[in-house]
Amino acid sequence: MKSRRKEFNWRPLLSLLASLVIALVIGGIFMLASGHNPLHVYVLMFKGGFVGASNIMNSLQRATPLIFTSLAVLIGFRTGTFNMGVEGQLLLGAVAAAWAGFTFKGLPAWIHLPLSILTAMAAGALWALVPAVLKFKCRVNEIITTIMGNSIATFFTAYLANYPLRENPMAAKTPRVLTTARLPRLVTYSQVNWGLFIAVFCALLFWYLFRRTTFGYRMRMVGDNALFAEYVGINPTRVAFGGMLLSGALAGLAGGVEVLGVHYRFFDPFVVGLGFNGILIGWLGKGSPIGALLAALFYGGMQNGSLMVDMTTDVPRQLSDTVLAIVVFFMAAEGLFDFFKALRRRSKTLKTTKGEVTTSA
Amino acid sequence: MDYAVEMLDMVKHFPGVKAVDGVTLRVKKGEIHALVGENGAGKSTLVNTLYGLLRPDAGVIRINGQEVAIESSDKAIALGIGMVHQRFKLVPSFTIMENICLGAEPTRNRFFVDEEGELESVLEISEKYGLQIDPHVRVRDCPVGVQQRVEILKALYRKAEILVLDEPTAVLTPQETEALFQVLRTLVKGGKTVIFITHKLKEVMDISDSVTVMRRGKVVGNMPTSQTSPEELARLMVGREVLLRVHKRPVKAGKDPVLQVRDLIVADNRGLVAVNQVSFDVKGGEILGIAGVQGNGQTELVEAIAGLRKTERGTVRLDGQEITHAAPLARRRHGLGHIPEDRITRGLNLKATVEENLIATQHNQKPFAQNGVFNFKSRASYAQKLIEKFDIRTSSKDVLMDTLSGGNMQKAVVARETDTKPRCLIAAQPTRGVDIGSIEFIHQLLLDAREEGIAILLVSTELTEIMSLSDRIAVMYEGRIVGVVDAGTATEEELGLLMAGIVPESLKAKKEEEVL
Repeated sequence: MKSRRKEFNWRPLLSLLASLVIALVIGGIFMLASGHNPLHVYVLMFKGGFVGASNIMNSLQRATPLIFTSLAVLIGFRTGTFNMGVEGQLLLGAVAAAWAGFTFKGLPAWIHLPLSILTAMAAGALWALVPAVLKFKCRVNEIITTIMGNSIATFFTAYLANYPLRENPMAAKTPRVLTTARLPRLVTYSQVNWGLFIAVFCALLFWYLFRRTTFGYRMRMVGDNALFAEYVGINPTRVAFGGMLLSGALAGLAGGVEVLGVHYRFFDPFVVGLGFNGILIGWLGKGSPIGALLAALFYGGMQNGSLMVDMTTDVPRQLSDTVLAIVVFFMAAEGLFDFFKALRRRSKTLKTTKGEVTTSA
Repeated sequence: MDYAVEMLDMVKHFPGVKAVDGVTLRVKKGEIHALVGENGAGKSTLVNTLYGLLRPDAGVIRINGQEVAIESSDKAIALGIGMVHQRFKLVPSFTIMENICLGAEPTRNRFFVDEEGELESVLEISEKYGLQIDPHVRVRDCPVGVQQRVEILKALYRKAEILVLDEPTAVLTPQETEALFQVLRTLVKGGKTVIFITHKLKEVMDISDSVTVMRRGKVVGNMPTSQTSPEELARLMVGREVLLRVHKRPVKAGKDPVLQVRDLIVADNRGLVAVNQVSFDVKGGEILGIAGVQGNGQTELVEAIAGLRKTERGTVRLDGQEITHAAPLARRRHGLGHIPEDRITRGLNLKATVEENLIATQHNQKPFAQNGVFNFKSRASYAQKLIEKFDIRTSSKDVLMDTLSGGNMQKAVVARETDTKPRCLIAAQPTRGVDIGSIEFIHQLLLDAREEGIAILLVSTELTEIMSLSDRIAVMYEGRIVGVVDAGTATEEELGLLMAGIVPESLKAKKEEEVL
């Protein structure tokens, strides 16, 4: 194992920190412009995200679905398919979990809960099957089909919550899931639940798969260079197909855990943006499941902090969310740092003219 | 003496390496100056400083006797320096004319491209230097040789007096190479100066007036071409004696054919017939060379045999077992090895480590993995063994593949494909874009494999390679095998005619009776 251990690379971490600082400065200018003290807001934001048991627990609760969705996106990236449909697969997973949760009666928890979770995963995977088949059988671009799939899933689940599965005439909500299908809460003062452990387990599992198993190896080879994979005897279509289904299953799991652990029911409109934030966080994680896990925890904390700022000051939520967006923007835009570096080294390396780009020897 | 280019005591460091270490290059006006050296000797780095792509750490550059500072390629162009890169920098969807003028179009009323003026000046230059092109054809529809011509025209259009060509023949067929040489001769006659980077010694001898040899960032030789020989150049480049001729021991080929191809029909990407009723056998211990100008169906033939392209009709058998429609993995299990013609897109995963590349075809097998979990110890020791056995120069087995030089990448492919002791090995362009030292090494490996009784199908557009390694040579032309000759008696003329689709009388009679 010794040979696998590489020297720890500080560069990405430093660049992340640098982007954080720049983002805070720019966000600070926004704050100042609207008459708030940025330092004060930042301290509140940080405290709201990461200080105190209740804040930490709430941050973890917010991070849980993001861990799932970012892993879902990452697995797509890794196998060379782009699943932009995490949002829709999540919604279907959520509805499916709610349905399984309130429909099957009289089951013991150790059957009912896993059954509901599996139903959610199956729903997500099934919805991902559509773009997967279109991509691999009919060569339809999966980016388009998955994005369009989101709209269909949004309206379809809204219909389900409004008509067939509606319990309460006053609101578009399904019945609550039975207690046998609920993920236990960790503490009384927060909605954080066992879903967190499932999420962390998934991140570790995929880290292990990518690092140590032939399964993960094949996924990486296909994602890096499908022609190479085919040539050495891997079936790229099968692997990428499997990757897409796995991605959908994780997205469905995210929805399932939201229902079974947090809300106990599906409702319309459901929590928005978990899927799209997953794309962002999957990107921040730089292709590593552990990176995605850390990025999701950070993002969850920042989100919760931003909420705290909203609740305790007169800084509107929109402003603190803007700062959060700027932070993520800079963290994702690492190319900017190469740009700054290039500026510094302008005397050394120069771009050629007429649209030609330097080829280093 | 009039020098067009003088680069004196040039130094250029990269982190950890002195890529160019006190190099002096003098190029006379109106000559073709060959700059030779192995991959990584610093040739490209040196000319990139001349073209303003890299800033030298030290050194003086004089153009036509004037000391200049070239801080950008704009400046280089203004000084009359033009460069044709190894990888073309053209816009595929633009026409040839648009590509040539791109960024320097003649205009009308300042905002509108003067297409007539464009056409006129492009035609004028192309006629003047004998560079025939159809200005209205889109670049993506042009063969490589024509694309290169466009690159040269682009430089001439910008009034280049000094033309730098970085490995211009690496992507060309012998015919295209000859055409390029004609053009270069015309250019020089017209007063231009040419710096020609290559590592092919035959070309140095053919085309250049003088030659500068580089090794590891230093100049190790500089002489008029007439006063040197390929052997001397090879020795200077590599730093030791090099066998330019391989020693091929007689091997008794096996009785039964190992690879048997019958009436194979394969379509290309556009759905047109690329391989048309091709049949041949390769016996164990025999090298069958497939010669031909690039694009006559060799690529499709190889891909079909390797299972990477659908076979329309016909059969492929390996040791008597039909594998015509088998998946690539099944073929490998039957004992088929394959060195693909493009190591970058097909043969390697540049984003994976050297080790991950070396175990790729066996990643799922014991002892490298059990129940789907890798055994890193055996992976590592196997990779280490291959690196040593095949002399793959890399700082570690854990670095990414794209940090290796072209020659060492190719050695990694060859190592992976031959170490498993296949029954049959397909070697497609096994030494394309590879330095001399590695060529010698790879040729020896192929001959060793032959002595071990492996059936080898060698596909190459390099006639010298085919002639020195093969036992028999089949020539492909427009998807068919137009002739099979014995390598011992074949002449270059004979093969050249076959490659052009002309079957010599002497062969016609023989062909009737002989079944391939």
